[in-house]
Amino acid sequence: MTRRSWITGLWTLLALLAVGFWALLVLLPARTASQSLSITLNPVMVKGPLAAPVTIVEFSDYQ
Amino acid sequence: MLDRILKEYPSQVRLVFKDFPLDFHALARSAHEAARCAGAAGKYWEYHDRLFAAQPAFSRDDLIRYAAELGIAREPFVQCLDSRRFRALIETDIQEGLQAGIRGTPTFFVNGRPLAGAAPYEAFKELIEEALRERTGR
Repeated sequence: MTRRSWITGLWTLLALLAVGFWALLVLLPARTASQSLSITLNPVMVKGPLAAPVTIVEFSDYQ
Repeated sequence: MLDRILKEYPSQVRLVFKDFPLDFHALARSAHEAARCAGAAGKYWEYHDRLFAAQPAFSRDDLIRYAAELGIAREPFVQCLDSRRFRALIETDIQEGLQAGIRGTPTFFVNGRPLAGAAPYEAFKELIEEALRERTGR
């Protein structure tokens, strides 16, 4: 293998690692958020039937 | 927009509101506490909508005036607001949000799947339909 192809291979490897790292940074927090959602429920602050199969939880700020 | 979704899925979707006042919004916390006080008087959602319409006018006088406009008895409301009766429950909501990885508002979860920012109607619809398909196994 020539020196040039070694360098090309190394750059390719580094690029793949960078893309993988970026994907981890972007995707992991969303996945974690989805998996760890555990909330208390105040019936006063619920709109719609309590037994609905889909729950939309909104975290919001009035200001 | 969420009202549109609730109308479209009247028996399939429920909305749960969680308090997440941001630290740099000086008046937000008292507004959230006032909404809880309105809830204790049976007018949570009316007050909630009033606050969003009136933001950022959330001085103590404003908050009391909004309650009066909705027919909420003044004395118990003011007592609730001044005693910060719901402070701890709001803190619980904030902690739950932080544990869920929230970094900004609004942040939504559709059956646990996050949707950050002012997401369009179509994004909600897609997640709702997906959740309903998962439920029916199709």
